Amino acid sequence: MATDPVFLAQLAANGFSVGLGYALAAVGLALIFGILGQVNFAHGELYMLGAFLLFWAMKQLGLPYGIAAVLMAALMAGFGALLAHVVIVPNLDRGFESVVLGTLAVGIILQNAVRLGFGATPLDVASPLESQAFEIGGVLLFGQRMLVCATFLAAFSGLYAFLRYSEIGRAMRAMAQNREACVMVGIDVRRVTRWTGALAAALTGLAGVVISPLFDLYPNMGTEVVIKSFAVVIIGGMGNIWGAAIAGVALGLAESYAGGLGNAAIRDGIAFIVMIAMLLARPQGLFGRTVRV
Amino acid sequence: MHASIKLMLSGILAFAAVQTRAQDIKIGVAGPITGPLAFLGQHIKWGGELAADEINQKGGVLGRKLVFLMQDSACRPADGVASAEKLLSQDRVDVMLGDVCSGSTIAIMPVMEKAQKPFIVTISTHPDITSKSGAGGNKWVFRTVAHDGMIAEVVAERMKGFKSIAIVGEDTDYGRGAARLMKERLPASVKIVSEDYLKQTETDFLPVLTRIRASKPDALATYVLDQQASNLMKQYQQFGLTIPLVGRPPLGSGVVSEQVASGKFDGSWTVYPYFDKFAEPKNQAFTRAYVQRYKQPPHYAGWGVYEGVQTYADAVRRAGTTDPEKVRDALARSDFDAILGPMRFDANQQARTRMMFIVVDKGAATVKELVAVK
Repeated sequence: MATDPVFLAQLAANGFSVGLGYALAAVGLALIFGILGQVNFAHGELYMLGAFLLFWAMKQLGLPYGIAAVLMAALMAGFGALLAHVVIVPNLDRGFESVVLGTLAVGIILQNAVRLGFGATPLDVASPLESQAFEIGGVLLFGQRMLVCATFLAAFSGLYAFLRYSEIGRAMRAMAQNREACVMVGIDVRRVTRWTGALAAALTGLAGVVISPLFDLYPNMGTEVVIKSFAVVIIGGMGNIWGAAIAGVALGLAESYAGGLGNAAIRDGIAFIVMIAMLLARPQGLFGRTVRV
Repeated sequence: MHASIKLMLSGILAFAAVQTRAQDIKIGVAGPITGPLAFLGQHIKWGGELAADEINQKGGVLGRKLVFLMQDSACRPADGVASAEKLLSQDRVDVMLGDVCSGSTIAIMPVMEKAQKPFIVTISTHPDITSKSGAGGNKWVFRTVAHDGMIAEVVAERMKGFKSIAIVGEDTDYGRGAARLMKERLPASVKIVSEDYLKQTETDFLPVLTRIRASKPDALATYVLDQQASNLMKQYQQFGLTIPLVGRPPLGSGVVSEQVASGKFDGSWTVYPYFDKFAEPKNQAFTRAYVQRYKQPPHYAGWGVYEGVQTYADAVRRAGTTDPEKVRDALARSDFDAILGPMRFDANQQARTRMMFIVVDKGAATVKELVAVK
């Protein structure tokens, strides 16, 4: 079985789709670090919030999946801008730990607010693609996971175009290079911070929207995602969004082969082994910290 | 650091509200309020509060009110011990009930021995809890539910028809322990093609299912709890697999009711200590009260804690005091009509209770047989 080409191809397909999901979930974290130099400890809760808002829009407002997803991304962008305005902007000139503590607090509040509002019983959002699967040469491709891949491609090309061509995108890249210089040439760093927060939250929420129908929803669901996101960001280079994409896919593939050929326990260790090895051998990550396009 | 601070704060948020008076009888429990098993903690709270309120409405026990206090363990041994110590030293509880996860319950056992207070295990099923209790050493521990060894006997016997099985379980004392007990009793004709133990928070079963799709066993022996089972069954359907889930899948849980109703799991079966659709008057009265109050049927955990509180109240009534030593002796002589039948403990203070053989047929899980302990 271990040498069966169909089996190996299935593992590759699994790893690829899971890995692009990791990259999509991690890019918001990389963006905030790359541009603002801050670590967002509420990252997992943004993902969780995206999933729960989707559930709310579909169950309470009765919206179909596609429309609920768009509404949710807009809500998340607004929330991200608010988060940046309330937590990151006042702390831009303070030490690194102010934002860590501030976002940690937001994470705790969000988790408990969701627990109060929705309860602890796992919930389920239904996506039209969820039960779809098609077979190519014996290899199964799953509808919802294909949607994750497509969303990744759309989100990353959108992000590329935004950073490359828009005025605010150029300001973001400038801020990633040198914040003091930005202030001197008249770039409003607070505005850029809010935009970065909005963009990061929208992308993270979007990840929650496309990935969560695969699993159950519960208030702690962000914890797992945040561990994988940190692994991806550390392996790819803190703040490097293309590094996050490549590291995500590499991690997804490594886990898939470890889980398929070895066993589940080996697979769980992969992210940490690679992360520790990377910190020892190349602490700046595979590609270093840059926001270039 | 991240997770532990959250844990601490959510614990404070959830339990700052409980008011107690000195003359109240306090029942403590350490259970998961945070983490992936938080919804089981919710049922623990519901089951315990329902039992306490029902008893209080009838005048309490010895004229005193029962108060139910809960602390978060996140189902982890270290947090379980910390919760138990807090409940014992600060809240001065008279009795403790066990956690969901066997690892946490086992860790709390020596704490109870040191505190010399009764400890009633109502949900955890690891056999070591029984072998270490009563005649096994720790005279303070009682268990009201069937343990994994008892259940494994029943499961292994029903595996006879299969030529090959794969095992998937949670990577905990429960998952690995229960699967090992089943393997030890498995007929030699059944081949095990693969074994996978995933951490309790894992949601993605792709690699395991990919392997099972290729190896095509006759059945998948499942040793995961409700939430993981829900994720497993969701992905199982996407793979188009029709291999029955057997062993201990939580097929009676409300969390997987949609998947069971799809009809794709017809032929799957499980052996569980409890299932809310068990049609006997005492259970129906209990489920009716539970649904009326909480708008959902009782989970196994809710039932377990409910029985635990009743068992303790019965012992206090007979002892005529909450003196721990006297209540312990009264517990050992328990003999009352519980939901699953008479509650009596053996030399190891294990209840000789019945188990449910639950089968899925035409999209519905039903109790096919009540299995008595041999």
